[in-house]
Amino acid sequence: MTFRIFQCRQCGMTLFPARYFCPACGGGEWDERVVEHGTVAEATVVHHRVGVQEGSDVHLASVATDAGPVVIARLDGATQAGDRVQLEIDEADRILAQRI
Amino acid sequence: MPSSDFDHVLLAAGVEVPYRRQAPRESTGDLLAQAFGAALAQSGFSIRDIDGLGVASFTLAPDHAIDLAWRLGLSPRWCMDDCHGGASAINLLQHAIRAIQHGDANVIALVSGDRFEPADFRQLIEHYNLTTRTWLRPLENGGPNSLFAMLTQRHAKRHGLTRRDYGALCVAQRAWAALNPNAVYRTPLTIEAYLAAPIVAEPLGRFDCVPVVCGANALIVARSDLVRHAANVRVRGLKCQYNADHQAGDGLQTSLATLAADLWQQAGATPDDMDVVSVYDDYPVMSLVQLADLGFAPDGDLRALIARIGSRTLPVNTSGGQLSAGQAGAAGGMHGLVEAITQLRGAAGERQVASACLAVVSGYGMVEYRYGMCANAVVLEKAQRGVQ
Repeated sequence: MTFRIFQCRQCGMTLFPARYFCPACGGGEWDERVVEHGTVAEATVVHHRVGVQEGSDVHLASVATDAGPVVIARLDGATQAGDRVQLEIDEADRILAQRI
Repeated sequence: MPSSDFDHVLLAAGVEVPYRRQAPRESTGDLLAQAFGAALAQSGFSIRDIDGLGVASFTLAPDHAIDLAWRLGLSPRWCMDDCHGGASAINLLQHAIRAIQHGDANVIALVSGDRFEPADFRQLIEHYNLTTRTWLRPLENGGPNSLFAMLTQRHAKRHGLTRRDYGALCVAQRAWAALNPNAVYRTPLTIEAYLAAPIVAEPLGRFDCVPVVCGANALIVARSDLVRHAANVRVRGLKCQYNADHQAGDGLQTSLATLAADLWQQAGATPDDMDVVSVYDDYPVMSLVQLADLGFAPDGDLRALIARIGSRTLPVNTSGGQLSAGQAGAAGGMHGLVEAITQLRGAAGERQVASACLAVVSGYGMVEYRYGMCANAVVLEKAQRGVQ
């Protein structure tokens, strides 16, 4: 599924996750904007999680979307800063990034 | 002395129920009640003097402050729940001071603490707020470690720091912890052991992540003409700022950067005047960020700042901080405040900073999506007046 961020109808500010009112101008009306791509700002591999057995690494990245907002996304494999990625969202609301 | 915004109020006690790594038999409420009792004893007040109660806890549910007040046998005129995590203690203190100054209460107990089984902690970090539950939990991100791992990368790149630099802070705090009988980790830590520890989420290793513990802290805030003992602490400045950047920045600056100038002006002091510093050390990177925001590295030289901390020229987190003493949930926001009060009361034992008169304490926390939303700070001064 396509991933969408939110754009203030009044001042054009883009953000994610959604807010009720725009922190920049106070506007309360939003347009959803599809975002397909972004650039990895930082990536990490989570080796240890509370209550989870070792050996199930999770690849995560902070992705600067082409629309502006930075989102936290999951990847299938290793990535690094500067990588271009394609973004989508699945039925579990997972933001997924894939290297292009 | 000229009048200040904080006249007529003193901190009359600051205590900690020793933190424990293993969940004790006692409930969260039991730990909070122990902290309350210890603070009352230190202050010299009778339980009948307490007419205000503020509570910060993640695991007291389904009870709230008013339920705890009932269990403690209190009839408060002022009662407050606080949900600001690492910023809760200073937030509560801000409200308590005004309540006392305006006659809504005379003697207020502020308590914080948590008891975690591993499942409780997992529940907390996965459902920290709706944003976490909706956008982070499905990623199986394992809680805030992964977020602060990426924040640490940004910080290291910006300032040209390496793991060794962050490790130096952990080593320095562990050395303080060796002098604190109540710290959960007191064995000296070498930089080699720090670097060799298992990686949790690149670049964070085991010693970069606070140990989760069970415990509680408490303060007594009182009208200054009512205090029972000579050794008290007064507030010289206190400022809070939340959502300064609405999570649209990089997290390398907290709201402390926004409020620092006003805080120091209000306090009539500068960073150089501080004898003791407590910053909210959920991760070593955040200690550096908060210290820089408060003005402890005016030239931007973080390596020199780290060296001053290591040599104790600048005494930072003298309890060992949360990184060595442990993070007892919402008590984490009160831990550094209690340590500063303990130092200013001259009651810090082996780790006592000589002639400690002034301290600054910061709170930080409530990660919304990528980093903390809340930051606040208080400047404290040793006070001998108000003796009855």
